Amino acid sequence: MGDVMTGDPQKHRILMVSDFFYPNFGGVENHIYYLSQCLLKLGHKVVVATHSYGNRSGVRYMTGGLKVYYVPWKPFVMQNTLPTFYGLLPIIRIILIRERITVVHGHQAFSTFCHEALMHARTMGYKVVFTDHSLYGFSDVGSIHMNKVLQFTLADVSQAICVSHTSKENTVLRSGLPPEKVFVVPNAVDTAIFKPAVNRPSGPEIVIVVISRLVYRKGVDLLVEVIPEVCRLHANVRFIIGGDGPKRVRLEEMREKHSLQDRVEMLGAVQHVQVRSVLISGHIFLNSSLTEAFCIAILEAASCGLLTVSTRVGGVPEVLPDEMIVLAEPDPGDMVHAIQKAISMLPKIDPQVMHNRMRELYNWHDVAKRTEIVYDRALKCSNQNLLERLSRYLFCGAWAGKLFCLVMIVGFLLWQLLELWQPEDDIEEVSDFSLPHNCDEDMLEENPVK
Amino acid sequence: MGMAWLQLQRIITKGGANLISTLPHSTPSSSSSRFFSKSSHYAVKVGIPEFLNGIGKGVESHVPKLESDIGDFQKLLVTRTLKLKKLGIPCKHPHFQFVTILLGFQNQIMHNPCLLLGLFKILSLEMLNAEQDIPDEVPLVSKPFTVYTALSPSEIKELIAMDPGLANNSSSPRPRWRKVAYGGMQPGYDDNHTDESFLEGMVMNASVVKRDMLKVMLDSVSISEYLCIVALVVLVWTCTLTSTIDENSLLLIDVSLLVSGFLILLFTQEMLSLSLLLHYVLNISFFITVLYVLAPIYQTLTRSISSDSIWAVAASLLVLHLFLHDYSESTVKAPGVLKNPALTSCISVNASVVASVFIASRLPSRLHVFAIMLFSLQVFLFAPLVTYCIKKYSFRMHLCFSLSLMVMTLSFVYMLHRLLFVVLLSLLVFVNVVCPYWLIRIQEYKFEINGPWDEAKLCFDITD
Repeated sequence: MGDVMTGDPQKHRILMVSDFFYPNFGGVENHIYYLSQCLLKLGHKVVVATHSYGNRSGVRYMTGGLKVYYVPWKPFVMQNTLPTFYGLLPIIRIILIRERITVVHGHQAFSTFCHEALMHARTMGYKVVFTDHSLYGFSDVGSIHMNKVLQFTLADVSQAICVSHTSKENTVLRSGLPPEKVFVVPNAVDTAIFKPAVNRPSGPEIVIVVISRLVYRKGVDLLVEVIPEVCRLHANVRFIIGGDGPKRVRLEEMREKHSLQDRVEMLGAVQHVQVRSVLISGHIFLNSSLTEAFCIAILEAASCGLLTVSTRVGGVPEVLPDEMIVLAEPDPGDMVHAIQKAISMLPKIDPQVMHNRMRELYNWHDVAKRTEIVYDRALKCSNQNLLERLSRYLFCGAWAGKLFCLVMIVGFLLWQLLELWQPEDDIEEVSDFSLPHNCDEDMLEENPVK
Repeated sequence: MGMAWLQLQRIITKGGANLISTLPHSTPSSSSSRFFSKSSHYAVKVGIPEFLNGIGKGVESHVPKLESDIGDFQKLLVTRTLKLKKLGIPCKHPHFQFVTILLGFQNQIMHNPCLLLGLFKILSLEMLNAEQDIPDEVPLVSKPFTVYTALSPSEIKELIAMDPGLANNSSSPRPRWRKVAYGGMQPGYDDNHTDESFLEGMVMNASVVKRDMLKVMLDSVSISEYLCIVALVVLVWTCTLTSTIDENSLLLIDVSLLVSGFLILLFTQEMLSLSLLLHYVLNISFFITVLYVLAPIYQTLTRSISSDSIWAVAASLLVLHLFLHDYSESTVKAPGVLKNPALTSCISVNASVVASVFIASRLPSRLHVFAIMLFSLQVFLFAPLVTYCIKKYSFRMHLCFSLSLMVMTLSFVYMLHRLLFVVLLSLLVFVNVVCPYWLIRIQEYKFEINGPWDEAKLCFDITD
């Protein structure tokens, strides 16, 4: 760190690109929002570009003067935009020039918007950083396709960031990047929001909370096996399940079949603002995911002072110190065992102590500082001309390599055409304004603008 | 730096003068030579426990602590040597490598006086045959030794204090890197630090089975068997179209096929219940009646289409049928099989039925149409079932049946057309010999990666 930070710390002008941003909700959205806020606090300029959500299109400002471009580009499936390769080039170019961007930071491997924007930014010679938030296998057709796309994007990326060490291993394998170029910067949790309850629910009853989308990948089928068994073994255990999804029917069936209506409460979809209030009504948080790059839900639960029981998958074992989490193999028997162990550990857990510990362990400001180092490194990378970059793409595969080269060449030609049609000098640059510092002092304590 | 080097030389030569030689290296039972093999200079791996046990005098009690603190001794030696090289200290001289050991241990020396004693012993090991051209990376411990007197503690401390850079570097050791995401950036490590444990959890080619050439060849026999069956059907079609076989003999073939197929089924299924038999007979008779009633429709169904198109379509449908056919099991369910056939095998059966309808429409009489439809449907629908039953019953029988079928088909085709014979023969060779060999050859390119990032598989069935 020392040698990187020597001299005058450089102020960056960062463009965050991803399909996923508010008003949509999830781990990536959260990450971009908090990272941007903390980078703004560090004195950098941050602009977010995403596709339009409903009638929310155009430029919006969020807390702390975070500027968001909702590009009028329709999502077609699961909030992803249609891949058009060059459709976004003009608008991305204008944003990059208007905002005098120095670093482009893309998020999430299955965001087409991010891939396209990164491609154009590279064509125009910008430094590019990419954050991978998910894990992929190597066996099924979908993953193979995704891995090729990722290889294309990462072939020429300046630096990459992963959210956990497991995710780094995965990304290095998938994209063939040299490991030194991949940084591990985890997510964090806003401990100011996720505070433990003032009065912990007392009494003999033990409440186990589950909050997740009820889909196969979140291991709902495991829950269906585990819940009746735990209820049978411990008469004082109650479950609260928050979330909705296609597997909800399975859980309701299980509840009927074992007549556990009074012991398993199903809340349905839980708004993010209500997550804390659900969490603090419980003692143990149960995560049954089958795959997870980095589980923010666990952080939120631990920050609320809940003891976590989780499956040992992906990056989950790295997330919390051993004394704050009980890990189990994704197998009903082992999970029941882990829950029993957690119940026996419960008297020793003090939520406030756990919360304070989480404050030390995770902090968005720390994440921003570490990301800043990555930006510094990215800017230090040497500039390369088109031919040098093409040779990198050529190595991506026998057929794919040539295809990638073709895509890049056409992109380059289109860019040159745009330069002739609308020269860079004709595009007006946005003047910066700075908010008075005191007006957003406790910005992180507030909820994000809806 | 130069000063330090001179000082070292002075100390070591002084140490070397006070030779006491308590352990002549020629004694085979001596504790040190037991671990420091003479013969293999490079291959010997000396662990910390062996090393300390070799020294004796109570140092052994520190084995676990030292082992956990230092880890691999060999590695330590090599890295220390390299480090000294980087600092510009020549390490060719054998004496010097002892100091390397010492520097490696200095951190422990400071904390544990008892260890200090042991380490003096280590230091006092002097190489006997001090060849000048030892490769730098060869750890010293793999050479024969004799024992010399030790340096005094003050001399060692003096030695360490000589090189402040070296002393500082190792007196505040970096905490070990941990694979955790919490607690911010790990002190001493950048975020892009790639640890030795990187990709430790990766498993390659975990589920790859090594295939046996003979077994693959035998398995591919079922493919060529079915190829022959289809070739025979095409033969019968051509013979009927050229009127080599008349409708009566065709009906005779139908009946004999039906009866023999039934018999095979009954014998291989090992359950000759009357109700099952009755069930079969009822179904078959219903099927035949419907087919007979529908025969006139089939005859005129595609009359308006030109014959050339019919041949072309029929041929391509047959190719499609062969391509999509499920060679591993039968499309028509054998009694007691739970699994439903896949979509591709359904498409395959339908393609074959349509092809036979097309062919049937080119025939002169209703009886012809009925006979040829019955024949084709029998073969396309039930031949896979019959062959499947034979294969399940006895693999040897399956082989005999397939071989005889191949010989029969080849001889018939030979009589019909020479070129077709060559084509069929080369196809059979390709399927039975070339393809298995090919499969075995490309097995070595198989590259499967599994690791902690994979989605966990549920170990139970989800019953919806």
